Amino acid sequence: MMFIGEEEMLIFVGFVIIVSLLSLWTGVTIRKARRRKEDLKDVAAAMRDHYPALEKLLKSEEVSEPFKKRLLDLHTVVMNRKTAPHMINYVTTMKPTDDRLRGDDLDLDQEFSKLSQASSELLDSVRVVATTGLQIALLRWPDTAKKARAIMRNVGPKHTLATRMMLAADFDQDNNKPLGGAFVAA
Amino acid sequence: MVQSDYATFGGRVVLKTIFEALQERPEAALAAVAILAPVLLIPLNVDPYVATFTSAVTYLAYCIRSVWISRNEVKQKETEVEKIEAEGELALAKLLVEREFPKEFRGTAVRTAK
Repeated sequence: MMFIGEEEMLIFVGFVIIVSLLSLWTGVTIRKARRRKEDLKDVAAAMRDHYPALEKLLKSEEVSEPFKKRLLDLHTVVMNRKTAPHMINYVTTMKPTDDRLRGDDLDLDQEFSKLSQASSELLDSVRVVATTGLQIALLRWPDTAKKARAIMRNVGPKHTLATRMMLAADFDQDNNKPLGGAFVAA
Repeated sequence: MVQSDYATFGGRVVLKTIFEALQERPEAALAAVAILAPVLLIPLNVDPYVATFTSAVTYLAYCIRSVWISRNEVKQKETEVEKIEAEGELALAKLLVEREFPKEFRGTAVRTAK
């Protein structure tokens, strides 16, 4: 470096700053894109399981009409960009002992025991619909994807609880808030 | 170990580190190369403006290309997800109409499918 003059040094310092900033920008942008790509890959996989499971439940005679409606409502909420983040906030604030898990007009315990007696495959389909629904709501949109990993770490392994949480959330889609009864009180 | 062995070992470690960096974080490794190029060229009496400008433009082109490729890959994935969603909603809408579900059942899924 002793061969170069003051002017060359200034040019070089400016150049190093520009290259460092470019490197930082490229690194951050590429990493964000990579993460988003991974999220979308998971969403695609979740959707491939979600739709057939939902169709199977809707076709089944063993599933009651109110429960079918709840499943369809859940599906609509998680697929909608406006409602999904509110649903996630609402659902993930529940604790295992939460009153809201009791549900309202729909008796989830009864529905689950009826389904397990009829066929364990149907009960599995309910779990698939709820847990893939949760994955879709979390990862489909960048708004929720940020906190998705932290939430999934808590919810993921307890997928029975996740199923219950998702199905217990009777959600007003137009106003982005839960509907009456135990939901308002809790 | 004699001194030359240490040098060979050190050289290998450096080469391995550079190779790993190129795989893991190509933009950072290439930034180092871009910075080193003018350091070597300026003392060799190459015009400093030419040496820095060429390196900077080459690196900028690489950065823009990398970002463009990553964004394109994300767009492709988004299109794939949208396609799965559209197919799924269509199948769901057909099922709801076929099975003659009440209107309030059909509304949301049919609306999304459209």
